[in-house]
Amino acid sequence: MDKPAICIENLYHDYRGEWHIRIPHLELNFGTVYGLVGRNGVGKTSLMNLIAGEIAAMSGSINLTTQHIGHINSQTSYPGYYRIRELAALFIAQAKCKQSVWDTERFNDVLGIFSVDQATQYRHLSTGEKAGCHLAIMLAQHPSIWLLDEPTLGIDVVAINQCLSILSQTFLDDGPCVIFSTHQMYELERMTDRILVLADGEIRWQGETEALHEQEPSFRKAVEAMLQPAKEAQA
Amino acid sequence: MPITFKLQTDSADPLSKQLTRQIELAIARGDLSPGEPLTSVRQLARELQINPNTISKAFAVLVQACSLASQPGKGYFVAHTETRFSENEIERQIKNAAESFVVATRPLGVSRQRLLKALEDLLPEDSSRG
Repeated sequence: MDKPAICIENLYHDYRGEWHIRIPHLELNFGTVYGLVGRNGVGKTSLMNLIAGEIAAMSGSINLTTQHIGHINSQTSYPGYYRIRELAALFIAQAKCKQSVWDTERFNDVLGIFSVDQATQYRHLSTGEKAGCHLAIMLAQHPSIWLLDEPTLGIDVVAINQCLSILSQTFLDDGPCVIFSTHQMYELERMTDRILVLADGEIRWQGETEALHEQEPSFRKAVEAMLQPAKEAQA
Repeated sequence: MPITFKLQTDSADPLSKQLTRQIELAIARGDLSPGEPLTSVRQLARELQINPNTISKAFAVLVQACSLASQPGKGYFVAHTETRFSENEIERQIKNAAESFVVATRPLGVSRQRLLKALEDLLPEDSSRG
C-alpha cells in the first residue's frame, strides 16, 4: 500500500515566463488517491502531462515504477463516427497485437452504469456519456496510474455520482496511484486520501484530506485558504 | 444491514469520523446486533460514492475500539460484548483510567466527594457486567 508509483526529483518546467512548476521532491504511492487543487492556469494539467510523458520537463526527473498509465483530460476524444462497439473492437484488436490488457467485462459494466448504448456513435454521446466512455476505455486497460484531469467537468449530478461510484470500486480492485484534479470540493472530500495544493508553481501543502479538518472545520474554507496567494496571506 | 448512512461533506467532522460515529450509534441503539455482519467496504463505497480507504479507516478505528471484529475474507462484524474484554483486561483498563483521572484532578485540590460526584453524574445507571 505504501509502494511508490511516481518519484519526482528537482522538477522544473516553465512556459514563456507565464508560469512555471518547481517541485524539488514528490513521491506518490499506489493505493492512494491524491487530489490536485489549484487556481486555473497554475499548471495542474501541465503537471499531469509531464507525468504522462506527453511533454518533457526542462530539468529534473519523473520516475515511474510502472508503464501502465491511464490519462483522461479535456482533450480526450475518439473518432466521432465510430460506434462505441466499433471502438471496443479496435481496442480488442490492439490488445491482442500488443499483448496488453483489455477487460471486456469491465468495459461493458462501466458503460452499463452510464446507460451508454454501444450502437451509438461517439459524436452523438452526451457529455456525461462521453465521460463514462472515457472512463470505460481507461479502466478496461487496468492501468496502475490514473491521471484524471477534471474528469467530471460539465457533467450532471447523476453522472458525477456514477463516476465516483465506478472509480471507488475499481480503485478497490486495482489499487492504482491516482491523481485527480477537480475544482469540486464535494469530489475532493469524498474521493481523495491526500491533497496536493499547487500554488505559485509549487506544492504549497500536501497532507491527508481529513487533516484539513484540523485547520478549519469547513473543508471548503480550508482549501480556499490554501489557495490564497502567499502575498495576501501575509498582509 | 438495515441501517443507512448519511455522510455530509463540508461538515465539522471528517467523513471517516461521521461513519465511525454513525456505526457506534447504531450499535448503541441496537440497530446492529452483536455478531451481525456489516456491509462490505466494496458495497459501501458503491453506495456512498466515497474512497474505500475512508471506509476501511472508519472500520479500523472501530476494530481498535473493540466495537467491531474483523474476520479476514469474511468482512467486519459487530463485536460480541461478552468476548470483547477478558476480566484481566477489564481490571487493567479500569485501573489505567482511574489513575489518569486521579493524576489529572489532584492539582485541583478539591474534595473526594466532589470528584466522586463528577464520576457518578457521568456514569450510566446500569452497568451490564458488574
